[in-house]
Amino acid sequence: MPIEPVYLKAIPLLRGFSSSEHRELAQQLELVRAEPGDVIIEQGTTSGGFYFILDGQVQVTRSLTSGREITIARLGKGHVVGFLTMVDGKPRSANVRGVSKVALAHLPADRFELLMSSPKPMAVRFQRILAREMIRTLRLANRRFTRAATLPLEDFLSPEHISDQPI
Amino acid sequence: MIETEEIFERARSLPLFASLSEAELQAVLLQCQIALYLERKIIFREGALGDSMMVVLQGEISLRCAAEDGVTVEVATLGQGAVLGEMAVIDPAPRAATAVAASNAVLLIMQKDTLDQLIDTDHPAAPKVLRQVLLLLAGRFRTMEDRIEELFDARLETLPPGSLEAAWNIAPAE
Repeated sequence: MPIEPVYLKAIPLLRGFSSSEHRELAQQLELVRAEPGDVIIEQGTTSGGFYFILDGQVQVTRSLTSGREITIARLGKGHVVGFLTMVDGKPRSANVRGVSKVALAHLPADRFELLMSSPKPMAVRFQRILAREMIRTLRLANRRFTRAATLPLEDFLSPEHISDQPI
Repeated sequence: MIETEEIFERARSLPLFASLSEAELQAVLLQCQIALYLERKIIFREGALGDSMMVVLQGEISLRCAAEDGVTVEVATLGQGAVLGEMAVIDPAPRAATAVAASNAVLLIMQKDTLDQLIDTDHPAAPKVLRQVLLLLAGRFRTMEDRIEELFDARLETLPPGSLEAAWNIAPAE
């Protein structure tokens, strides 16, 4: 099912897009729904695509070599997930699961790739938006590293210290 | 020091410019600066607003961070081909470290304005350069995640089984 462009207006990352750019992007997207507990992205795989969260909440977790699983973020409406693997083709670095009922706009891998290599103005703006998002994520990871190095383990991993920002 | 032709040769072999056509590479390089830094020269200072990205064409760069009590700690040494400051051309922010020439060094410098101009003029090089910057950032992110995991994964064994999962209402893995 395609996405109504109006849903994209509520996504802060796409604030700079014109109405026609929202329409152009919306044509590439498909509406996907998930129930609480449903796996949207599975760590270690390369399947799926890129997602805008339109409604509901998801939990981002990381399965560690020791077999433990830790939560690294809770994300909701307006956030994006799944871009790392779409950019570098390497396995998913984390799991994403529905916490509530979730509505997502799914950009399949082949369409993501087309958008990433296209010189069209809308595509290049999208590429720059993604680069900004990647940097924000990287800066948060840098801060998490500092916290991991300085906080006691329990504090680092406790829910109070987990950001509700995208990881 | 290296000759102009060799500068082109080295730029051509950089992953950052690998997918550019010869004409695109020329157009991009025309907008960049090539700078020579003598050994011990400070390239940028930690905390200063950065708005350019650099590639080491020759020599070595030392990245240093201020620690407690005014002591500086070397956090990395970068050699030929290394990229530094790539976040600044997308999203300017204070530099996270001080960069110092550890030997005489030649740097290729791209300003944020240059990349913005490539993007704003729909230049065919724009998506290609952006893609390489994204790949670089993705690599940095994965390295950081691995380092975070290394820091605490071993220590996790000291926590009772299930305690973390319970705190987060994670269903046990099947």
